[in-house]
Amino acid sequence: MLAPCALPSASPSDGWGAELRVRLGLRHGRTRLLDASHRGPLRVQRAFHPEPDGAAHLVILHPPAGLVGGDHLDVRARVDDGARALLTTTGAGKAYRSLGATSVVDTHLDVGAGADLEHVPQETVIFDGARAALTTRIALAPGARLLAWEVVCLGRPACGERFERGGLRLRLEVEREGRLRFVERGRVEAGAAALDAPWGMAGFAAFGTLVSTEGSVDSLRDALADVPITEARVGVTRVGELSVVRVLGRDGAHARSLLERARHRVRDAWSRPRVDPAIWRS
Amino acid sequence: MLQLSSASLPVGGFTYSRGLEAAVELGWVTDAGSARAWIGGLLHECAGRLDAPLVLRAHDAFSRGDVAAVARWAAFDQACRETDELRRESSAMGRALGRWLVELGLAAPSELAGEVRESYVVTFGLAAHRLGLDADAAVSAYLWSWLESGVTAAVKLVPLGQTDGQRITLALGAELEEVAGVARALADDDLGALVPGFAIASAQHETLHTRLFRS
Repeated sequence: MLAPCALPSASPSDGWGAELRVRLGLRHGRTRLLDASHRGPLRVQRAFHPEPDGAAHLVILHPPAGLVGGDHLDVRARVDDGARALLTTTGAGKAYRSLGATSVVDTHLDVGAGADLEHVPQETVIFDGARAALTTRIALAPGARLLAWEVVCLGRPACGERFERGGLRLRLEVEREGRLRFVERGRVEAGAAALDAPWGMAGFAAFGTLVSTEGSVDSLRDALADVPITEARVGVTRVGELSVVRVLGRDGAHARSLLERARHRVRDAWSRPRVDPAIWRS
Repeated sequence: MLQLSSASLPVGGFTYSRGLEAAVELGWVTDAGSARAWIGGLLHECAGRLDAPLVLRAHDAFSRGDVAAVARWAAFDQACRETDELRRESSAMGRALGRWLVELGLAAPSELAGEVRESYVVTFGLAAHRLGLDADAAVSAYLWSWLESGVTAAVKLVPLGQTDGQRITLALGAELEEVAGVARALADDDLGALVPGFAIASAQHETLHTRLFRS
């Protein structure tokens, strides 16, 4: 028996603009948050250092915890040469039902020479009736290493809510030294054939894409080899210099849990321990 | 236009199934109805919202002699190809079409340098331009050859009878003008297809034990 979907508490509004700018860099062998500024309701907590190599884990906080039509979040982060950083979010993002205006999230990440960046936000749930445009653009300098994912859930399967009205535009782009290396972009309209078609969402509510500069295709396939075909769909490939893992899962947390397994293999390839951000388990 | 959309164009288009072989193997496509849905869905999403708009942009860029735009769209196209196989498909067909153009004296080798020949759709735009096709004819030729090779793969793989194949071609052929209309109307920022199931099928094809097709 499914619990009924609660109505979103957000009230219709003209939407808010919010910006966050952060810069991380090495100081005395550890990666520190060197600059952070914000406008509107976007924040970062202080950086955590749970890893022996001094990598910084930074948690982005959006206190309203959901987007209404017309909201525009703009996040820019720079990781200086040689630094190591992980960016995540405090919880699942939510895009609420809109009266028409689109909720926009733009994320621009700039990774310096020889730096490591993991961009591993929690999933974004697109409520029935929401209109959202999520864009992530990542620029890599020579020798920069990257693991980034985008996980989206259409509707709220836990309470039987399907994605019947609204739409999603999604864009994930990686460039190195000014040249595009990976582009995944497109849109899904609510109620469209794509939601059930085997070439689209195949009846799954959530999908996720992970891109990484490291991790062999064989080891990433191995990490997900025992996932039953009835529970999820998984595709692993190499696109130029990037390894790519795509999953379809029953909800956002499920799709993300599959990508977390792949992430551990990338960590192995980086010769770094399989440390998860503490916020994922809290 | 007929020459460019012909199955006898020496680019090897009929050795690629674009994920259909895996979809059949996985039981996602099992009969004429599901084959039509697979091909039709990807016709509207991938051919209509990425390939055909790129053919248009390449045709336009070659018409204006805008070498920078040609290179930019070719790099974009390559970055959009979802898997290793799909990237190889585009690259192998692009190179083959480029050689054909050079052999016929329709293009100079220098025009097909770098990333340009790695992009089949961009090379297709060049071919259409050099054969004197206008933009609409270029898109029609592309979509027709895309549809025909898809249906041919389905006839072999599902398998389907020739008549079933012809029915799919007839039904989806009637949608080509609509697909072309969408392709013409898309803004640069709207190019792209979000097709996770297709990308996953293509990735799984890379590990199938026996394969008749190269994608």
